[in-house]
Amino acid sequence: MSEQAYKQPPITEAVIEIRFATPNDDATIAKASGDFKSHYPQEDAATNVAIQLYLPTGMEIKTMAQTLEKKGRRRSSMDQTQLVLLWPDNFVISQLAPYPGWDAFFERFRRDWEIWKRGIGYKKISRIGVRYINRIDIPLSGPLLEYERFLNIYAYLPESLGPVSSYAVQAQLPLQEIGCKLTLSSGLVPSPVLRHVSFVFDQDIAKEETPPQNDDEIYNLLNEIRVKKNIVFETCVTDEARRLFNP
Amino acid sequence: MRHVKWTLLRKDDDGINAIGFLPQAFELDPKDEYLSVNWIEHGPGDRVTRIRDSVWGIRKARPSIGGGGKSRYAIGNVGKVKEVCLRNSVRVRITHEPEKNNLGHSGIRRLPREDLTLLEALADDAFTEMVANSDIPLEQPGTS
Amino acid sequence: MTELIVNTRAANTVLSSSILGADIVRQIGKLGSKSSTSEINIISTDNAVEERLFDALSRVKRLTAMVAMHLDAAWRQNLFSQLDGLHDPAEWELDDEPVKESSFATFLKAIVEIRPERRPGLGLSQAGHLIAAWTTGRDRLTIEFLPNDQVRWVLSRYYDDEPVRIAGQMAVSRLVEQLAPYEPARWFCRESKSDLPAG
Repeated sequence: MSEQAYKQPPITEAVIEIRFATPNDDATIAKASGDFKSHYPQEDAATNVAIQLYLPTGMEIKTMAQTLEKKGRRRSSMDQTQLVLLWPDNFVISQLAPYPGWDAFFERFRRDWEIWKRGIGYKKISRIGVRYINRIDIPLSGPLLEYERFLNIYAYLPESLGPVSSYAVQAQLPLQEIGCKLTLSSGLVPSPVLRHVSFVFDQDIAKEETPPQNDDEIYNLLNEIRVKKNIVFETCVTDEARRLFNP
Repeated sequence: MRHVKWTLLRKDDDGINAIGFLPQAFELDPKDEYLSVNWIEHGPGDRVTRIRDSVWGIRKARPSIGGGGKSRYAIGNVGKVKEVCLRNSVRVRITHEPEKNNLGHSGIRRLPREDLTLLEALADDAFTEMVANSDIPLEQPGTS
Repeated sequence: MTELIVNTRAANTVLSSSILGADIVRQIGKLGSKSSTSEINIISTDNAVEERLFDALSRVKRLTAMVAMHLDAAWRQNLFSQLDGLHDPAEWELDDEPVKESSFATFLKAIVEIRPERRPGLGLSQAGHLIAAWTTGRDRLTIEFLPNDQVRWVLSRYYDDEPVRIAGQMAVSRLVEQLAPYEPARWFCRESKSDLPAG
């Protein structure tokens, strides 16, 4: 299915992530970051602190916390819409709005993946993921909005409970045809546009079981994911929403 | 005369050229008791010389200004300033407050804070002349 | 510059660099997963002037990306060019404040709603509030964008050589309604610049 070209695609961020089975050290990441300088002039060192709290049930009262810290590099274009994030075990390409279309985004990924491999060399890949975050801004014409007119993914509640003021839903589905897992999230978010209500629609499609290791298979997978992503998106929005993307 | 930096200049469409002054250029800082200006007529010489000397005085008091750059000086007639303020029901006092490096330094006192229509009137009606900082050369030792 | 990303999310989805991504994870976290999940934006720990200006510009450019689908490319480009000019380190004075994110958010809301054809000249108040100014002949409209969705505006309109000046301060959601009696098309529309006589 070819990508439908909307005049105002609701994409706020598109991400391609390659995750590795074994991490690189800080020095290697810092050096690799330098290779991206001409495309992403701005560099920021970043530290990712992961805190996991274990709150046991039952008779135990002891709470445990684990802190995992990893250092990486974030590089961005001057207008802050194109980013590359280099972590010890992740290579991430991000595109903020305005979305330039899959062809341009994919070409950027290919270019940067080549740069990364030239600097780092081969590392076993443990996960390949693509994420598209959309925000659908719906003009408010009255006190209530029938979001079902715009979205096919939403929280369904009995009418007798009355109107909903907020919701968030998440679902995980297998995409067996391409051996991936789809995580779909949607919900109401604060709108940055006056007199609008905004809904996020977030797709994360990833392959974790036997992900491809060579470039041709990686590129094929990404293109397959893109096709699936488009089908899922078109399935989850209505014609009325499409009219918002093509004013 | 008052120094107005690029951020407080009024620009044309697309922000390319400075065409005047924003009202905020005449807004009192919270810590200020009066609006800092320079009295051009304080010094000797013709008008061009007085303007130049005034700029030099301001630069001496505020070395960060220097030569070049995109800032401007707003020039207004004292009588006109008072008239504009009076029309907005404000009676200001303009006092000479010489400083060691800037003998022409003066202050416009009793300007109300946050009266945007008055500030707009000052920007539009009172301070009607603009001189570019870059048009005034750096002072050479022994010039003044 | 060192930046800190605090990430308490279980790493089973693709990392997002955007503000919206972080917000989504917070919302999903509220669905009741066992581990505490949230992503917080980066925190700057250095404060040299140039880095401070660069950081401020980066933040507002990322903020622009949130509504970039509602802005045309030329508008965005000019906006960034003017913002860069307002934060030129060569013109900067130590007690100046770079543009505040909260002020810029108010500006974006106003611009997306008004959709002016004519791009304003931008300024920056001492407190870091963005100012947008339109000028048509002798007529002037100046809007200062404050935090918390507030705006402060003043206009001068000339009628037979006499100025009428009006000022106001209100929520940005009421700006269009408040400006309506003063023919804002005079400033916002391209035709008005050349066709309407100067006041």
